[in-house]
Amino acid sequence: MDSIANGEVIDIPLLQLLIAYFFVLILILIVRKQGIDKEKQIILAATRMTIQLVLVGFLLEYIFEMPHPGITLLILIVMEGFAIQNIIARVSTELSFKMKKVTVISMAAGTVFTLFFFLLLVIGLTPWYYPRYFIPIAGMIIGNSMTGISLGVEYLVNQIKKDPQKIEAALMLGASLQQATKKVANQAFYNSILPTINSMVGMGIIFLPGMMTGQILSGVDPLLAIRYQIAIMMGILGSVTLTTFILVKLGVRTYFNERMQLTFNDD
Amino acid sequence: MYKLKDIAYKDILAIKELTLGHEKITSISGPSGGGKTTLLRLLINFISPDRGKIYLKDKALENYPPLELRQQVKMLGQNPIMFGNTIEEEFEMAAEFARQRGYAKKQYQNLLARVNLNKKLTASSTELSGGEKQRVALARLLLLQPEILLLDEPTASLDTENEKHILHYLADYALEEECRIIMVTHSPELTNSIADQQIIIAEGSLKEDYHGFDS
Repeated sequence: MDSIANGEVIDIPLLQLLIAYFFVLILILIVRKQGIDKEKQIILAATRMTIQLVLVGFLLEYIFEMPHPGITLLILIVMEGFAIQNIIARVSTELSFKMKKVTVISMAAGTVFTLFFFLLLVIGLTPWYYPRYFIPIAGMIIGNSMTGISLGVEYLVNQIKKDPQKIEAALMLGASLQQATKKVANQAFYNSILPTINSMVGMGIIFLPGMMTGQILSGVDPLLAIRYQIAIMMGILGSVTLTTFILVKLGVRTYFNERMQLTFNDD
Repeated sequence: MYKLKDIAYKDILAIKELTLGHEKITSISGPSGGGKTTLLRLLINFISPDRGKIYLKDKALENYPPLELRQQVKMLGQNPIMFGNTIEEEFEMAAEFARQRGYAKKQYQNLLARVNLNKKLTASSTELSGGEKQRVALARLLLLQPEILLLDEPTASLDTENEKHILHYLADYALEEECRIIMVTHSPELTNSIADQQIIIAEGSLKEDYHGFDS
């Protein structure tokens, strides 16, 4: 009890960790009993999670011991790459090459700007590439931006394809490209930021955010933990805002050529 | 105003030579699917011909900056699309799109009366019938006083009485505002009474051009 009171972390011995897998067993039993026929998928998911996390654990341990700007940047690039690939795979319609390019540009520009703004000005991290801070914060910013941008792209692409008449009707009256696409662009933007806004509303009452919980569990004073949580939420909000704003602004342009003609709609 | 030289668009439309818009009102008729709407879309540069050139006032359409072209030429599509929640907002949105602000409510009301629509400006525009929407969309367009008006079956959802009324109003409007109207029509017998030039398009090509200019 003394060590807990002193803010030390309780170790989880391997045997006890194995006990946690009990819950996977319960799920498999239920699934089997109900004839849901998804045991393989569940076992695969649990195994993947275990292997991935073990690998990441060793990798982080290694990286944390010998911080190097090159390695930190390499990890950033890998994270961005996976996030972008995930966005493109998640959207229900096939994205045009131009739209993929816009996704890459907006993700990279929005997250990198926010990440460095956050690390250098809010946290005051020196050296800037210190991986113990850089990597988890980059992960949260990129992950949330990925979710936001996926929602934005999904709405934008489907809505323009579904209702090009409305855009053309505005162009017929002399509207600029921005005016004609304003409504759909605004809604796409709103859809993107909505999950972040909602999670801010519920935070602290409906749920304790993961990062704060993690910090508290590892002995950080709750008052410091909430400072980090507030700061990171602002960072996430900033990044989601920037990435999706760039996406929406550049994204609508991909549907028009230099003559302001809707390019996919030429019949 | 418009000159078409040896244009072709996919296998939908092919016209060797055509001059239109020199007269006040030009009507375009012909069986559906013949390429009439495609012609209007070419004229407002929503699509470009695969071959040939279209000139407006002796300048090729592709040489116009898009917004400059659509400042002079405006169009009303077959399906009237509402942008706002009330009729007043429809006028306001149209003025905003055209970057022509400063209209008075009185002008909106006058236009509604001219298209024979007895509705308040505060009435919902989304709950109107098809024919009413069509008249709001037309009134909203006429507010902007473009030089050239392209109308795609502007009276399609109207009863004969309203159709006659609108057509006569368009004839007056063209005269008063010195505007050229090029309209696709489904009822040439009515429209031709006000048209100065009549064009028939069928199966993607020009059939007759009664009063076409030699160019």
